[in-house]
Amino acid sequence: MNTLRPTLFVLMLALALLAAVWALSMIGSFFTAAADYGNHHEVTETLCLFLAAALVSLGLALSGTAMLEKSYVRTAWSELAQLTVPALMAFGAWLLFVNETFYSLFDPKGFPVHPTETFIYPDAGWHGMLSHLLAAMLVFLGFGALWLALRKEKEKVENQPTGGDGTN
Amino acid sequence: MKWIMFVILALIVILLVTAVVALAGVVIWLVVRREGPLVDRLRAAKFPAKRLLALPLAAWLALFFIILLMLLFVSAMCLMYTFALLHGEWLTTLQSLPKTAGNILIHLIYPLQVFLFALVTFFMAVGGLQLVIGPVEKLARLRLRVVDVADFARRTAVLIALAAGLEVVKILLYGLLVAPEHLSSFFARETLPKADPLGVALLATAILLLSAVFWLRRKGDR
Repeated sequence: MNTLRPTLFVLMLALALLAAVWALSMIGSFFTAAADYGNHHEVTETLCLFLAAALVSLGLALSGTAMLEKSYVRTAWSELAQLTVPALMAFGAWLLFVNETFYSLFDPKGFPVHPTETFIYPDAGWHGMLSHLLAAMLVFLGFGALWLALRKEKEKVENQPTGGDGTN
Repeated sequence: MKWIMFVILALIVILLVTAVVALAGVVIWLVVRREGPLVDRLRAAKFPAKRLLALPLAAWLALFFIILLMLLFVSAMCLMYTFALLHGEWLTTLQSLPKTAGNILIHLIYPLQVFLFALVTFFMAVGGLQLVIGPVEKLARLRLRVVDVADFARRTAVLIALAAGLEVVKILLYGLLVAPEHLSSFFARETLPKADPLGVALLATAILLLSAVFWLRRKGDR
């Protein structure tokens, strides 16, 4: 059992390294997009995958080093959350861009935010307004719920009674 | 290129150089002092081959600092894009549109969303760094001090929720204000090619599970 924790540590750090290399490998797409004006909206999906990889890498490294602590089994839920939160943030950001929620303005395939674009690109195959609205509402409600859950936890910590010497 | 773009570019370059110098200082501090939550965890561990275990951590730290630089770069680009959008929306689009309250509001939303995205990426860089090296007290004045992952997630979540909320407002405004009689020709295909139902379902499930984990933890602590 003594080798389990360092093995888990090395495994998680190896995965964190892989995620970091994956993130850094996307730098080429950024330069391509910067050099070609026509590509600058298409790069947004890569950009969000970069954010996803960076945050997953951070989460894996945090969880990996936590494996070195003796009490890692007791804090398993906490570490799982530590891993899930950055991954979820990243996935949410990626989803925003897959749906082109932010960058749909000038992309002929996305939601036509400027009405004239439907005339400029009549055959683009726009996705529907209702589906765009539903996706945006779901992301808003989902992240709003997450913020609310975490905010209540923060308030609980802040409202804990302090001891006579001012310490918790 | 107009003179204002040169000014904005110069400001962004100054910001980037300052950020790079600050980050280099933090890296040197981390190497010299060898402190921070991750390093402390390794130091506290009692394993015979502890020095070997430091190798993957050091390699990851090196890559992660490059990633942080890239995050700052993305944030600066988003900031520049905000200015470019404001310039485009105001000077180009609004010149050919009546300057009604609805038109002005709609054309301000997208630059605001990109500005929020600049904030998200900047916060990912600053917050991610503090998760590795520990909270930086001096950043408390700017309300950028990050205590733990929950704090990091809470602030990131609210920024993303705000941006998505603005998207909802924008679509509702378009539906209510912009030529509703022509909307059927604009949105001819009411399918979900981009919405990716599996992705949306996964996101909703993950958020619900995560909220449940935090809720259960809170209940268990009582």
